[in-house]
Amino acid sequence: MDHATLVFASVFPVPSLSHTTPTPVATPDLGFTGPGSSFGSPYVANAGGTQHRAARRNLAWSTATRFLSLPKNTADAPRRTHRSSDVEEALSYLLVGEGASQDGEEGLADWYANEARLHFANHVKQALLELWNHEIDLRNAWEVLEETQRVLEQVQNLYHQPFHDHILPFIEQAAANVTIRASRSSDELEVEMVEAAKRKLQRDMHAAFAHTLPSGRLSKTLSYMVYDAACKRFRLHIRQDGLVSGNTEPEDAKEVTRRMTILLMGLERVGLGKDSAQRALAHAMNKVLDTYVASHYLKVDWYSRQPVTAHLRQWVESGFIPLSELFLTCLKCEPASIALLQRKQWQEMALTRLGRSRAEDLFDFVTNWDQSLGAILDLKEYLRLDGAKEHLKGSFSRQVSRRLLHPGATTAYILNVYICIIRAFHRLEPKGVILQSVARPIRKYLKEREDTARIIISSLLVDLKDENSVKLASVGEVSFEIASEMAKPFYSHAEDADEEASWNDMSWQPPPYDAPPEYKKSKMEDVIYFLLTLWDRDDFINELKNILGDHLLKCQDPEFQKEIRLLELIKIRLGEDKLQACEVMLRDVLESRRINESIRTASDKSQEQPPQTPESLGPRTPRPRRPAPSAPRVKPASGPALNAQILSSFFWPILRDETFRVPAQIETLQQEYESRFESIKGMRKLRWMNALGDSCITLEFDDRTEEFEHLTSWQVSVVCAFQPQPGEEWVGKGKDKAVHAFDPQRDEDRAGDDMCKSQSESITRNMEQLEEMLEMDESLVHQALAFWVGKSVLREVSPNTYAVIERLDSSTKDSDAAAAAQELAEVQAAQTTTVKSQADLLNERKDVYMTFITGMLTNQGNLPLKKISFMMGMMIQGGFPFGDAELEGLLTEMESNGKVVPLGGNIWGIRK
Amino acid sequence: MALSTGPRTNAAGSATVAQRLQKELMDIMMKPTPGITAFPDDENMSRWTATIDGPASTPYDSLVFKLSMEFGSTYPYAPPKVLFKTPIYHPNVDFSGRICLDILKDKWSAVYNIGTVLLSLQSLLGEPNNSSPLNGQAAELWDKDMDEFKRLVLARHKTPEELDGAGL
Amino acid sequence: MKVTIKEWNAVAAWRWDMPDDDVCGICRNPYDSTCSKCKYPGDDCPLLLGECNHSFHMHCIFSWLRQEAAQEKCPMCRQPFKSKNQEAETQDATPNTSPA
Repeated sequence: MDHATLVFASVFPVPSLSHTTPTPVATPDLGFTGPGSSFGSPYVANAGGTQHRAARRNLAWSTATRFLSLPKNTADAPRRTHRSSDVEEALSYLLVGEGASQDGEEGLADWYANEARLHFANHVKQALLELWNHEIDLRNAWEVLEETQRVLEQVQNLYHQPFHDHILPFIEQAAANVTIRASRSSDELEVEMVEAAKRKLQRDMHAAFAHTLPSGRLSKTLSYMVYDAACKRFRLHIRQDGLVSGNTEPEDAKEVTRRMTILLMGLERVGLGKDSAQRALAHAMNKVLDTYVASHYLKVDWYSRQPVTAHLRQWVESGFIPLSELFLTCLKCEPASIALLQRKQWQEMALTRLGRSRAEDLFDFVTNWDQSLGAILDLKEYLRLDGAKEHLKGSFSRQVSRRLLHPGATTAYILNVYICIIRAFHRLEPKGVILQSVARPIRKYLKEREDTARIIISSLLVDLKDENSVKLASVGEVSFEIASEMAKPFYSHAEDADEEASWNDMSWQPPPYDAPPEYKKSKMEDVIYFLLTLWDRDDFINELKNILGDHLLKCQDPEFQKEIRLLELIKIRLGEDKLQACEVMLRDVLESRRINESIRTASDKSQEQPPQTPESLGPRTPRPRRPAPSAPRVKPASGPALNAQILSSFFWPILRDETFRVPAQIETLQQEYESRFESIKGMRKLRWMNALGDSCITLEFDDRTEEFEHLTSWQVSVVCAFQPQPGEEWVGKGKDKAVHAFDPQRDEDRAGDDMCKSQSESITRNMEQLEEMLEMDESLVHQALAFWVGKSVLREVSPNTYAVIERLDSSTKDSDAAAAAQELAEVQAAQTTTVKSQADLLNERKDVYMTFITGMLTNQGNLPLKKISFMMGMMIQGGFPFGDAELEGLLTEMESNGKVVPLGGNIWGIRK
Repeated sequence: MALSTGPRTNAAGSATVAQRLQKELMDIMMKPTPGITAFPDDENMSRWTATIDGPASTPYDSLVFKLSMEFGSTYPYAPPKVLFKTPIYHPNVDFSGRICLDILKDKWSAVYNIGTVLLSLQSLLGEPNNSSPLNGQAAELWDKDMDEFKRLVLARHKTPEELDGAGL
Repeated sequence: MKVTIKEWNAVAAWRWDMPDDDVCGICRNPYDSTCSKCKYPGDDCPLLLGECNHSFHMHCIFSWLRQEAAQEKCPMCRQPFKSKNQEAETQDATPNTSPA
């Protein structure tokens, strides 16, 4: 039968042309006419040859096909190994002899292939399709695949067997009969032809199989099966498909691997191991990689702080790759081993996934520095891969802007995190290029906050051991990280900045390719440096000056260690000039002690003092006063110790400067001190800043004595005002007591205590009186009164009138008022430093700047914006601490006033 | 740990000069004197360009003159070098702009500043010192023929714009 | 009630006994600041008052007087400059120039 007919027959089944129907036995044997004897046709003589052959062939054909046809129920058919002589003859004729297929004729082998195909289509396919016709539940994947494989293998064997038994030998024989060519041996040729025939059949079979099954579903199921096997093998519990595998025992893992191997090999045998299967496998392995990374490494090793990259690489090398190689072997791919280059690539792939997922969590790692060292080291290795840097930068910047730079974060918190970022990134990428780009938005944001400078400087000055600072840290007033950074010893960087050193540096590297133009590798770029360079230097130093002034006056440490250290630090990092004010301030406080001593010694020498007696012993026994030997001057007796901080007025920032009267004795002492000072230091004048003093006093009441420390000067003034003043009448202790004029000399001379059993009237004062007596501002009076009420020293007897609480028990009900007053006093006492915002500064000096700009443009002609900014920075006292945007704002304002005109390209000129 | 003490070291004293010049610039900007302007040429502040208006009732009335001032590292202990950039016909100024004025030489004082120098130059315009002239002809004409003097003044004069155009 | 002050820590600011806000004619820095070369005010950078009643920072006027052109004259009034100061006796200040 020729090909065309076959095709036709396959579409339009024509029973008579169906080749599977072997010619029925009952068909009369036409026989054949012998040579020379005609049968009847006039053409016999000529066509006798072909007709003869055709007829014979047909006969042989029908015999052979009958023999070779496949029964419907393949399971039952026994294997026929024996061929009857007819069959033998027919087969021989068809395959070896003259009946072998000529042009256009169908060969027996082809017929057989077709036969098998049709058989498969009719009888086997249906069953298979039932398995595959609907979505495969992943849980059944294994079973489905195995069943499919089993069925296919079975029929494959079935088809092969007759072919092998009954056709191949003849082909072999046919091959042997072919004329021997010179260059090849007959054996080889034979084998070749046999193999070719076998392969052809197999190909046809496999094609049939493959076509039957829905390829997408098959791939998916296969992929899933492999994924499942790998997960079990590597003991991955958290999987992407949502299934949770139980704890797999090692034996189970092996078993699974074995099962999978067998299945894969079997699938390969039935032709399902081709390209699409390989793709399915690759897909599965991809997922395995992700799953592995996700399940094993996302939990960071917090304790040992080790990186996991080595382990990952190890796994890729010894787990992942062997598995892949196993697949390749199963699927009979060449080559079955993974090349070195590919191994490396796969390791990098694994590393990339690890890196990516780490990068997404980088913010948490940073805030948990340095527990997270392990994760950072992972990332360090990740950064070596292409594209990693950009990804990290982008991801981290997003995290920062979302989680850090928002109004809900306190400035101290932002500073703390910034410092953690610096530290972590120093380990991550020592060159600091990523840090620079990541830190830019943070720095910008910090600059916009008003309290940044204050917090930084306060933190630098804080004493970590002082519990007060801990309290401050918890309310966000102090950055703990900054304080601890200051506590580290810092070494002199004098030699480091020398560029010359790089000549001898054998490990010198050029700057990284993505470094910005102003990049300059400096070993001094550590945390403190970054903090100190947040602003223009002048700005920062200005800020420092203001805060330092306040701080120095309140500072406890007599040696000013931290302050000295801070200034030295700043000098080293930022350069010496313009720090003059700070250095002068510091020297003032240090010098004050010395001056104090010398003045006190001088005053002691000039008047011999009686031994100081502790006042608190009470004035019971009038102490005989030793007559002062020389000095005719009246001076107070053993008085309080007066210590003075002398400031150089020009260099200190604006400090509070309220004036009021201090207690009389203090006033006297101050005057003395002043004259002494002016005689020692020529040409100088002293001005007392009374609001800045502090003091320790003792209060003696009728029933108790109390000590107070660290009082402000106005508080003392106010409480002293509740003592009898000169000339005032006072019913003292004891009803018999005659009123006597208050004599400062004799304030100890009150009658003894035996007289004070009687009730004494407390002195009362009201606000106006106090304001007048003390020449003190109302707010200060108020604050002091609130303070003393809070301490149960005074109480308000009537609106705005206060009295001393001589006896505590009579005023128990005032304890609430006392507490409230105390709180009020504390609130009022808190000083706020005035930190001018950038906007205020700009507004204040706007006129100055505008005048400058006018002068500059008049004198030098049209200038670009940058040049204007630069010049202003150099020429104006105090620099020009604003950016281009602010300058442009100024210029625009001047434009609207008709002073300047923009000339395009950022150039500005005077309006003519 | 001791603080560093003693005078600050300045590279070539130029920082002190710059500081003083900055102050002077600030003063000039904030309290300008009529008839006088001055501004640094560039950011290092050692060269300035100034202008003075010719005083009224003098041959230089309504004319504007440009000058250059150069401050050395010993300013203000040494006077600046001042030159007329605008060509001027004046007994005490030569053809290349050099000025013969006592306060710019031996009568200089450390308390003089840019403002005082420029004011002195302005008065010089109205009251030349004819006893030690650099331009003898001008000295003579001043006493003898004021109209001719004035004509020559105007002939020589160029406005600042013309100067700019000529690249001065 | 009796108040006894045990200790009083006061704060005072010193300045030169000159009209406020005046500047040294030579360096143009305020008297209360330092001359352009000094860091610390006070004893380290004192003022000199001349007999002509003009004052300058000591360093400033010394630098001026060193110039030949100055001829030891006060820059303000061109009188010979002689210092009126008494403070030299107490501190380690540089001794005054010998009277002209």
